[in-house]
Amino acid sequence: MARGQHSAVQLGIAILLGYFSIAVAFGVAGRELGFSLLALAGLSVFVFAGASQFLAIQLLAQGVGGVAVVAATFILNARHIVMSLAIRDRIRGDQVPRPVLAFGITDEVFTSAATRVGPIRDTELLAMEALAYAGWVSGTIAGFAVGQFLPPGLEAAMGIALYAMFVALIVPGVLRFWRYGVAVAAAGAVHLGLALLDVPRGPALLVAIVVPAALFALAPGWSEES
Amino acid sequence: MSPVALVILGMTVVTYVPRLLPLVLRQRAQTPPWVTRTLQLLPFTAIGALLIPDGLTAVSGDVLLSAIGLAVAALATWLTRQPFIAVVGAVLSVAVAQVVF
Repeated sequence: MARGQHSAVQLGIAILLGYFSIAVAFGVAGRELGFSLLALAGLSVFVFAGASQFLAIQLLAQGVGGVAVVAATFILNARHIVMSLAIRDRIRGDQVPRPVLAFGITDEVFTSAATRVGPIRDTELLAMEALAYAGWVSGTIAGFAVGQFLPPGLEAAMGIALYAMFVALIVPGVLRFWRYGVAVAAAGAVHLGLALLDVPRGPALLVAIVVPAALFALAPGWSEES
Repeated sequence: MSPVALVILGMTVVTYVPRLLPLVLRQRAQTPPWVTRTLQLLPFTAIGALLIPDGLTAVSGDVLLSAIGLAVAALATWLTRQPFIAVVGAVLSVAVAQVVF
C-alpha cells in the first residue's frame, strides 16, 4: 500500500455508512409503494445495485411489466462492464474466486478502488465489497422497519433520494469530461419532448437513452480516452 | 415463483453478468470503439432521461422543491464526492424547504 492512502477497510467503512443511509431510503420508499420486506430484501441481497433497485420498485408500482423492468435494469447496469474491465488488470492474488469478486463491483466500490494508486489485493477488494454489502442489506431492512414511524414531511422529502443518487453518480464524470453533461441534457430533452407528445413511458425512455448515446458514440471526440 | 421473484431473478442475471464477464474472460475481446463509447455514454443518457422530467416532480410533484434537492445533491457531490452526503443532504434540504415554502 502506498504511503498516505486509505486502507481498504477504511474505504469499505465509508461505503458502508453511505450505503446504509441510501438503503434506508430504499426500504422506506419500497414499503410506501407496497412491497413486502421479502421482496425488498431480496432485491438488495441478489441484485445489489441501488439505482436500478429504486427504479424497479417505482416502475413495478406504476404497473410497468417485468420484462421492461429487467430491460431497464440492464441498460442502467451495463456500465459495470466498463468498471470490471478497468479494474481487472489491477487485481492481484488468487485467494478469492473472480465470480465472487464480480458480484460486489458497484459504482462506489469501483471508484474507491480506482482512486487508489497501484494494484489492489483480491482480499482487500473483497473486504471493501463485504462492508458495502453489509451496509446495503442491513439498511434496506432498517428502512422497512422504521418507515412507519417517519413524519409525513420527511417521507415526501425521501422522494428525492433516488434522483439525488443519480446526480451523485453522474457529477464526477461530468466534471471529468464535460461532454457527458451534454449527453445527460440531450437524453433529458429527448425524453421530455417524447413525454410531451404523449409517447408511452417505456418506449420514450428507451429511445431517449439509446439514440443519443449511439449518435454521440458515432461522432469523433466523444470517448473519454481519445 | 411469484412475478416479483421472477423480476428479481431477471434483474440479478442482467446485473451480475456485466460485472462478471470482464473478470473471467481472460482474452481482451476486440470490441469496436463505438461500442465502447456507447457503453461509456449509456449511464449518462440513462440518468439524463430519468432525471428529466421525472426528477423534477419527485417531491409530491413540486418542481421547485425537487430542483432544490437536485441542486443540493450536485453541490454536495462536487464538494465531498460522497454519494450518501448527496442523498442525505438532498432529503434534509427538501424537508426543510417544505416548511419554508
